[in-house]
Amino acid sequence: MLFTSYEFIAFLLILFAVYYLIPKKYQWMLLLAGSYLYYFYAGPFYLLFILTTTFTVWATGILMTRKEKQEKSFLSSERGKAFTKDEKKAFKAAGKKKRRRIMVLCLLLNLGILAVLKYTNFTINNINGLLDIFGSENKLSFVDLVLPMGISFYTFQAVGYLVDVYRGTVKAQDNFFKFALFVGFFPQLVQGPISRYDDLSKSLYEEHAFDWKNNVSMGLQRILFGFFKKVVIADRMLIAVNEIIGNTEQYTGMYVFLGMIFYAFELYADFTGGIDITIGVAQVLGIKVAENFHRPFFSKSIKEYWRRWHITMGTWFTDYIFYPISVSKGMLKLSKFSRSHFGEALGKRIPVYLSSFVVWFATGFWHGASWNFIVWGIGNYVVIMISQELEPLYRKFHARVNTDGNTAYKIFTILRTFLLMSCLRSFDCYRDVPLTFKMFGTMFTTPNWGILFDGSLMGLGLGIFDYCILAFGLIVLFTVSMSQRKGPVRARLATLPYWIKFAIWFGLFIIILLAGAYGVGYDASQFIYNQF
Amino acid sequence: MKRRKVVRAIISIIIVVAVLAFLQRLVTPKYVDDVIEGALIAEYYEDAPNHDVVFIGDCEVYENFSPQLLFDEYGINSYIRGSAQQLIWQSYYLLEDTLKYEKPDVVVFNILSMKYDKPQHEAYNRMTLEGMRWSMSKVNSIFASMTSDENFIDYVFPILRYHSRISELKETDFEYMFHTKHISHNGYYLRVDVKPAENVPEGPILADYQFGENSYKYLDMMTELCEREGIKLVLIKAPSLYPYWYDEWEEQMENYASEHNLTYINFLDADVLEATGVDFSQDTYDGGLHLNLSGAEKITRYFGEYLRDEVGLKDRRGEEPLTTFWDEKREAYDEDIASQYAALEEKKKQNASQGDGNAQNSQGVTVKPGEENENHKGYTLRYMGRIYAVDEPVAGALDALGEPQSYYEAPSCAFEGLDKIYTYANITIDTYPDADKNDLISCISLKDDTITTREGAMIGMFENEIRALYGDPTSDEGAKWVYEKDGMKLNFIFRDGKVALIEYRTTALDE
Repeated sequence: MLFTSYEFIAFLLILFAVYYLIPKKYQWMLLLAGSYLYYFYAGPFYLLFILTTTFTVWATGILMTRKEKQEKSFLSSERGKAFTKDEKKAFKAAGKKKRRRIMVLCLLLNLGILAVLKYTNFTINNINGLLDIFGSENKLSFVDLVLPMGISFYTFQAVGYLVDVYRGTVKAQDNFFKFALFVGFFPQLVQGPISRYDDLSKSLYEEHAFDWKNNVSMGLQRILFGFFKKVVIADRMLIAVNEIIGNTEQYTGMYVFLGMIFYAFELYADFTGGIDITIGVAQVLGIKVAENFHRPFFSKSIKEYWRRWHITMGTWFTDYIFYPISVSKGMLKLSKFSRSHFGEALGKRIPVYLSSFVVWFATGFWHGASWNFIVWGIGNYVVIMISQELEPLYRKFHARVNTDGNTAYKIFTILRTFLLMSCLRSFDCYRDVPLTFKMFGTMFTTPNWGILFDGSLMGLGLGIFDYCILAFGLIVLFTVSMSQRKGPVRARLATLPYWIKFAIWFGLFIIILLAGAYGVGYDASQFIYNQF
Repeated sequence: MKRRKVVRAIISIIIVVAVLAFLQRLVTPKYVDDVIEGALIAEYYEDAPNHDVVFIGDCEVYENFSPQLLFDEYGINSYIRGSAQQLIWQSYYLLEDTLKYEKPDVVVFNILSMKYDKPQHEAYNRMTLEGMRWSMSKVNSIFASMTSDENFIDYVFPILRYHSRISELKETDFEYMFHTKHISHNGYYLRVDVKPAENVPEGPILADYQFGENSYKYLDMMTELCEREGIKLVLIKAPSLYPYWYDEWEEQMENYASEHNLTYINFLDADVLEATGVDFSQDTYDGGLHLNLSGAEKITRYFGEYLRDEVGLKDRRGEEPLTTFWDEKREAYDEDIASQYAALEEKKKQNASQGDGNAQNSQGVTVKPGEENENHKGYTLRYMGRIYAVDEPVAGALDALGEPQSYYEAPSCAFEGLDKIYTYANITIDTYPDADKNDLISCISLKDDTITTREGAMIGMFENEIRALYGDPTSDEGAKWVYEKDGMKLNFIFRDGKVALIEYRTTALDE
């Protein structure tokens, strides 16, 4: 059930109506039923996987909490009180170790499911490649595995919860069904955001009264804007992007550059459009879901870009991978070793760089089971590390040339970041590492700039009308992004006179209706992040 | 304050509904210029519902019978409820719909659509279904007709289907927003031009000549409905030379008619054809697919006599207000005939002044056919030093084959332009026009063992030999094995366990 399908719209309308008609104490139960119905629609077999993850993580959370309680009650008993300080410390450490073992077992099971389903064929492919190199004619057969919808997202969300329970930052949820709702909450199931339990749980389980002004109307507006991004911009851009990347012999040079730029906007409109719909749906239900983007194309460096793009994924990797690796015993030893051998300045950076490498490798691998995503992840890492290493040089430059408040320099850094990210994204575009390098190279060897002016762009599957709509769409996105600097746009629009608001939102609806790339003649296009 | 809000909400709703209704009317096709067939079904509701005879079916009824002549010469009041590629379930539900307004004495059903057992093209569905008034018959017809990528809601709100027409609106979209012009004469689409039928090809070998269960189901339903209502059902096969009408199909229809005690008239039968006097060198406007006015009048006279003499329908000439009604219709009918002749005359003059108006323009295609290239899809054929692939431009590819034994063209069922068939001794090449009216290869049929596929298959091979060459087929329909690859199909049709026909077929025309 795609977010932009008629079925989903009908599903939402019914759910919204029932949600506010039933007694409030049953609202979360309805959401659970709705979420599982939504998941069932994608494939009844998938339910097995999400239920396995939900149950094992929930049970592990309960078990860890119970163990901790037992430890505490023992320590407060007569026997525990008789312990010396050191004995208490040892007892606590032993308890924590036990709990960690339980947690690790659960993590291995759930990440194992994800790994087997997502990466088995990738592994087989690489083994076959190696067998090829060594001249072996024996090949492993590929396995017919279907990736359950949203598994990367819900697994990460559940894993985050489990680690938080272990760390004691959140209290384990006693009610299995409430926990099942946290893992399977349908709007964020397919493409995130990857919510934290402490962020989402409160509004997810509490009772919500119908609030037209703050929730329903605002949520619907956000859904509408999400639809605009997805069906008017992203799915239209997709036609040209597919044409360019699908015909690599024909579309070289300037076309590759155009494809990169088009893909940047397509991905942005697609992913943020999907997240707008997610957040909007949740808002209509009175639930607050974390924001996942903060005007990423206005970033002045790649590092900043990653703080503004897919925010919940970035923070997840930082909190649950980067941080644990950085403070692990091995890494602390390495830190000590490198500082003593390579000096304080470099020695301090080596463990950080190593941890970052693991994070970026994992980020790439999480996006897809193929080398292009791994290279894309490492590419991001390399650019960030280089920029970090060049930091002293930048400082020297800025000491001599004052760029503070210089708009031209600011625009330059924004464009530089945008182009760098677009270049890296071409690995995602062509999905083949050697081909990406080859196509990238043609930008410098094929001087076909003339295609911008000789009407060749009309051969990309888009007509004048489409280009006008895209230009209009991008202007709207730019204007909204600029306005966001002054505060939430919808809240400011809400202060306008009624008929102006009516004209804006109804106008947007008409544009989606008439200019949306949907229905017969257009392929129902999946959201790009559904695939991860 | 509250009252103000209520008023504001009501005004807003009115604006929303009015704007959406306006836009829906604007973008919905008007069917008044290029593709007029879509207008036929809706026109029925404007006619007085007291017809003696109602014709139901596809283009083989709405282009082959003249209700005007049927009244003028036999006093029989009739209407044709037909539309392009009207499928049998659509005909059934149209009949059901018709019976809500009237109960004719005779229903005439053209049985060509028996050959389609499942939904075909969305565009044709639209032309039949959109003109129907909303009723359960329409709802059922939509559900029976939808192809896999269609949605019911698109029929309820056509703006969802036609929204992309906003970028291609024509003057007529504005002109006919709130009214329409009459296209047919009681459902008859009148044409006076002449294009003789020449070199009409034989039909290709089929894997299965048995009409489908679904087709029979609806034919049974139609038979039962007529029986229940006391209506005489007459089955006909109109005198259209193409699509080819197989003997095997004829046999099934004859059997069905005799089993159900129905009258069945095959106008392609030599005796019947002779009796009608139809001459395909002058009575057709598109090479034998449909009859022109002259041909339609001949068929109508033959059928009028049958209705009068065999069925016993009474002559209603002189009955008022029916006669006045038909007199008024005759004015439009004669006017249409006169204006078409005038237009033909004008065209003749233009052609004369421009020299050979039939000179072929360059196709303007960039991919050279006949040579290996990366755009070739799926299985290809190497023959006479050239590569042949489906969906490739045919221009130039036929040079190596020499003069065809026969050439045939007919208006395309799927796109604007002509479908063409080039028949050679051992190979047949079919083409279809794309959106730019380039002729692309739709099917390559190998007919004897003088040609082998690139993988080594040929006519006469056994099933196990084909399996050894190609592996397991993508689909096995018994006498037909299909190997799908990159948007095309390689079909092997078997007779007595041996390959009787090999087809390279595009999937661009599927659904």
